[in-house]
Amino acid sequence: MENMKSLSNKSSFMYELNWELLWKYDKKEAKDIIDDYEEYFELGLLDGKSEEDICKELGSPLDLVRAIFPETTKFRRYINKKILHRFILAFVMLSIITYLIVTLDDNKHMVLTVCLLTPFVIIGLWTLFGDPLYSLSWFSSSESKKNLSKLLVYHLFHTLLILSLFWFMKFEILTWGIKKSPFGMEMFEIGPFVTNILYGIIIILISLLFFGVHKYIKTSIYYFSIIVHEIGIIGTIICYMNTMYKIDESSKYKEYVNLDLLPYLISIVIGGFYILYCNKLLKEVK
Amino acid sequence: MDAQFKKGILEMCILYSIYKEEMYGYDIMQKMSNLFPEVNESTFYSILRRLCGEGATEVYYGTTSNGPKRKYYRITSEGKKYLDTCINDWTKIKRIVSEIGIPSIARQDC
Repeated sequence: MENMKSLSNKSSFMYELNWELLWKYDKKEAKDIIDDYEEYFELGLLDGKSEEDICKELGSPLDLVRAIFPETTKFRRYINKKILHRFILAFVMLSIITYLIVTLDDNKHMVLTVCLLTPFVIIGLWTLFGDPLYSLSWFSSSESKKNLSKLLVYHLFHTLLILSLFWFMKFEILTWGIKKSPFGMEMFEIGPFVTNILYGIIIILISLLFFGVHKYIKTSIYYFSIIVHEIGIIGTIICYMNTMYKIDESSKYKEYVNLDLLPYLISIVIGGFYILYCNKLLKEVK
Repeated sequence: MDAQFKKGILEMCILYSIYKEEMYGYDIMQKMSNLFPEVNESTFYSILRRLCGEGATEVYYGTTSNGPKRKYYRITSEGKKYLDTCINDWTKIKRIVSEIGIPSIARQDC
């Protein structure tokens, strides 16, 4: 892929450069390169050049990174140990949540839960095997019409995905509503009702996730980790509500409550550490 | 021109410039891009970094008249040795080329 576009000002150049360096190299080296280019800009401006001229001189940050580290062009650009490590963590966490929600939920919510969690599994697999950051950096530099149309297709796909999830959700509420009147709700009915609302929140979070990944490339890891964490919390609440509902319905589930909640709490703790880890990495780069 | 061959020549030019005069990165890159306008700046930067990484040059921080500290490059003793071999190789190639009798202007009739 030839990257011929040149950026028009310093901040966008440094932004792209930061992004290109973020995933690959140890922080010291990355900072060194960034400092060098800060200096270059500073001196170029003192020389009476405009930011645009300097950007034109320097060419694209991607070419720059390729020139500095020619060995990486032979391999897939963004697959290095650091990112693989990071996304294996994310993937494991998502898998745990998926597995737990699917296996521990009751049969009524089984189909919905599987539908809801499929995107997470897809994202997990995608991040692990699909070289997503390559496409992300491609998204960030989507300026030509060709790229925009591709971006539109992606957005359409994600919108359809989210809409279909909403449809499933609606279907779930409708069937539940027919069986039991939504008015005059009894104690044990509040459980699934709240659960459905929480599922809705999860769907919104998923759409936010896609939106954030597309829109705010720079903060996408941070964004990703926060939303995954929130989803984990809501998952816990859903599980809790479901078990509460089960207890009220029949008390034989009572003994499983702690067993149900423990794995969720563990996944939340893992999520928390994951966020700390991501933030630390980001801080180091900054 | 062959990329490796060109890179070798550029490397020698950069190293020699640093040998003659301690410079900061911006100066080196400006000077080089004036001399080789068709070469991208990132190429100079990558050569500069590599030379530094291999220990042929080293970095120190000095101040200029008009502002904050600047990163200067200077040649090391290792770098001087390396520059010598580069210059030897280069003169050897130049001699061979002239011995064969390749004219300095490209032939038009072949």
